[in-house]
Amino acid sequence: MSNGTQRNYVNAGGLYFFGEQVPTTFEEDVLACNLYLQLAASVRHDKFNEASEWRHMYLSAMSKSGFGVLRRDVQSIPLDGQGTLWNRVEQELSKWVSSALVQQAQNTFTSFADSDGEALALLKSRTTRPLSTDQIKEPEPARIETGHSLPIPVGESGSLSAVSLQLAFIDRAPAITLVFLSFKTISPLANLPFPHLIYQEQVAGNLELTKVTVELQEHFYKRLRKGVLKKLGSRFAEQVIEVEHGQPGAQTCLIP
Amino acid sequence: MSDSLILGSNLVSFVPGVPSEDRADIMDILLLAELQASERHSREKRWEAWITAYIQALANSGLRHQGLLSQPPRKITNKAAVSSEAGKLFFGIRPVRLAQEARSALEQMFMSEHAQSYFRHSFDFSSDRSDSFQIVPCEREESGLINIAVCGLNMLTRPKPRLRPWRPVEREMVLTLRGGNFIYQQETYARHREDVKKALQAAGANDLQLISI
Repeated sequence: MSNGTQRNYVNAGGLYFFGEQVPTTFEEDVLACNLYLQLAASVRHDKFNEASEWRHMYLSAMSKSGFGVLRRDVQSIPLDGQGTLWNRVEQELSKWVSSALVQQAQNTFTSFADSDGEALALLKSRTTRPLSTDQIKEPEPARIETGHSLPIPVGESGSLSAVSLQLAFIDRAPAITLVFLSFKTISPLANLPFPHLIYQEQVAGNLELTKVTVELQEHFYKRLRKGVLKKLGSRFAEQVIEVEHGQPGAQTCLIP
Repeated sequence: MSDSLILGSNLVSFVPGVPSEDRADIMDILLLAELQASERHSREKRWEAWITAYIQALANSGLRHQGLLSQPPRKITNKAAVSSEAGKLFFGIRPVRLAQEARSALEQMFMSEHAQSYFRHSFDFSSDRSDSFQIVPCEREESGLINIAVCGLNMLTRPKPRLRPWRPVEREMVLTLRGGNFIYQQETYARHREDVKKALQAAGANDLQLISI
């Protein structure tokens, strides 16, 4: 049963947007299972330095957890100063996600601006990391020559940070569109408000963007549900935080 | 109008009249059989062994096995012929209503963007590959017994033998049907229900071990 309102959550390193019609039980399954998958992928790969291996692990574990993949698209996009990062993401989402959910996401980002709550702190800690010089991988020369990849400039102060963010859009059960964004930025992250991160124009190198639409097969997942919740334990309440109308709200206890 | 759903590699189709508790039981059995068969054999590399193990697992989980379904393989050379040729493989299914249901599920699959998204690789002529899925129509008799036809379809795409070596490589698809007719009966399954549920939970725990956190 749905409660008839749009809901948004920070789920560790992801922002999850649920439409009005999504049943609460489905919402719980999506949040718990995806938190589990994030943690499982992070046990094996560093999502900042091994972003593609991390994603591969995540998606492969998904298919073993009751998610059937409907479509998938992987892109490496050079951002050449035409608009913001979000403009480009929005463009990529147009045929995958309803405009209402895109708007819901945008409202959430904007409302995040003045808040500095628990949810935002959690999201930033799970999605951004300063890189040391030896961690900066230059793109292959061949890709630069063909114009498919922009070189990575290091900031004036020598600072560069990696961002790895997941966005999830759920309009109607059982479909979920997940978007994985990885990029590097020369913006100093310490005091950067979240909207600046998503609306910035200063992406260094390419934006790595993977979109995938999956369906959670309830009958398949139900045999895992108990185990997932048991293994997550208190991490579910600690890392899944509802964001009400873009403002971090009280921690939500979805599980009785 | 039948109610179809995708479960693992099964396209399950329930003719109206199958109670929801029986549907849940049948889906448990199908899912467990798929997990058990996949533990033993690769569906992609050894489909014949996989489907044999799958049928055996269905019988072991409380479905009454009524007979095997098997047809000589059919060769096709273009995607347009897949639906009609695959449909012909279902003629031998009894009762006739289930054969119709299987054909109708297959046709729906070709018309449904959603189902094609799931099984899109199965109809790909561009590379050598082996794909498979099961169409599983289920119908309830007045007596309460539920007839189930498990129609395993394998699509093997391979280069077509060339009579003239200088001609470009063309591919053909070999469609094979293997499966079985089964009966689900509540009373018979009651003895297996708990074991199936426990086995599914155990398989789930095992899967979680493989992706531990």
